[in-house]
Amino acid sequence: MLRVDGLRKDFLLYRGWRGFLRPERRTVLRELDLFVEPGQVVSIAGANGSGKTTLLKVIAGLLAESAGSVQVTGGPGVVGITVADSRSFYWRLTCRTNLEFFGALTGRSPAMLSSQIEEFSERLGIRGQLDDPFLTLSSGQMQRLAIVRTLLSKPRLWLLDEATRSLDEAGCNAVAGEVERLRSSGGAAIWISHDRTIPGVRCASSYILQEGRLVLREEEP
Amino acid sequence: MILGAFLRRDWALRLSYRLDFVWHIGSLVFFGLMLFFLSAALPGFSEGRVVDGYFAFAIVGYAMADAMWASLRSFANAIRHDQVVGTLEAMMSTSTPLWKLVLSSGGYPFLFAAARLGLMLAMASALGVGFSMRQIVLALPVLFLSLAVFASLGVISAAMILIIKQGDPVAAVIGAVSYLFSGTLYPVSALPDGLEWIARLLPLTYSIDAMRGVLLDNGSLGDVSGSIAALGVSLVICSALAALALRFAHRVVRVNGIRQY
Repeated sequence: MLRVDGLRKDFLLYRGWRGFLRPERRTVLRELDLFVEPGQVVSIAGANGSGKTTLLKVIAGLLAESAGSVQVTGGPGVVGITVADSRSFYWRLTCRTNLEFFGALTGRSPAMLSSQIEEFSERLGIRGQLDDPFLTLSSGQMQRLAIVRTLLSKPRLWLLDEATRSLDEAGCNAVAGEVERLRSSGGAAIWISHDRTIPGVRCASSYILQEGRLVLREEEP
Repeated sequence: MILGAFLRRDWALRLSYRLDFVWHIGSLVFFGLMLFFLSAALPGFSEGRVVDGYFAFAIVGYAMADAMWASLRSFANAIRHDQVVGTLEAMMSTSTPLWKLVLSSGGYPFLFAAARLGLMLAMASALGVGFSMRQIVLALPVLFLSLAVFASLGVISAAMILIIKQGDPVAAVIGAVSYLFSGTLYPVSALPDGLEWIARLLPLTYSIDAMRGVLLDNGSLGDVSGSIAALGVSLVICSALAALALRFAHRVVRVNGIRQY
């Protein structure tokens, strides 16, 4: 499902006028390998600034790799990414309008979207807020909505970046249930979390991202 | 379908800021009235075969310049808004390609610009500038061709915003130079000798010339064929540049990310 070989990611830093001509190169990921098979959930932990989010963004295609390769089987639209960031919605629009807009970008028809918005919102416990403006939601509800948005794209490889931040226990359980549902249907997930274990989710491998490389933490038999 | 989603989103967003919406329309009326009163202070103004005086001359020029400016900014503003709000990254994480996102995100403001242009011409008609149905029908192809050129320039501007985030030089330079040299509020012939060649490089010059030709001079499309041909060439060049600029911008933003910083 996912094969990452020798991935290196550099950012270019422009400092001052001289730096504009000769940007400083900062390497965040180096010689990174990762292999995720269908039906697997992989967890990745790491210190702040270790490059976890960068790794997910490269896998999602939002950032280009500086060297190495990232191969995802299944074609475009197979990867879905959930980032713990409330700023990725239109605050003055209702939750439903937000979901309809982002859902339409995944190529789903309005009729299909409408029923899936209801279904996924129900499963994430946010259905009652669908017609409220996004700005009225609590941070936990915003995060639930971000999960629903990702689910609308029907990802086969789900990238979760601190996806349960701000969530209460019921919310964490709902997200874990969705990941398990994906895993059991042959999909895969990469879950970035500071926690050593993710309750309710059976991880095939756990890694720590250190100095730009993945270090295997434990492997279940 | 994607364009429809953007139009619905932007309509909902505009309606949530009603006063801004009203002001955008109101500002046009104020400027149109200003030109109307100014024309009263310039009796006997004539340019070429224009028979309706300065107001008709200026309102058509200003309407086209306003459409160009609005189109020029529409794509870049929409992209910048999504960068700042943080929604651009969420959009780019879907399977929709960047060029579709950019073109669709400028859809509503672009249509709004076209509506503003229509409103200005309607106001001109209400204030005594006579347009026949034949003139209006002949103006439509000129209008669509002009808007297509302006949209291409707008996409180049949006590509620049993707890279440098703020202070878009494309819109600033093209906008300022076009207002100054394209014969918006005064004829190109009023420019000092040696500067008229600048006007001939600007698509807005040909848009205004063709629009005045069909709306005010009662000319046919054949009479303004030179300007239409120049607009056609502009469209080919600008749309090719827009495609290249967008491809380059996509490559650049994937190096350092697409956030607003």
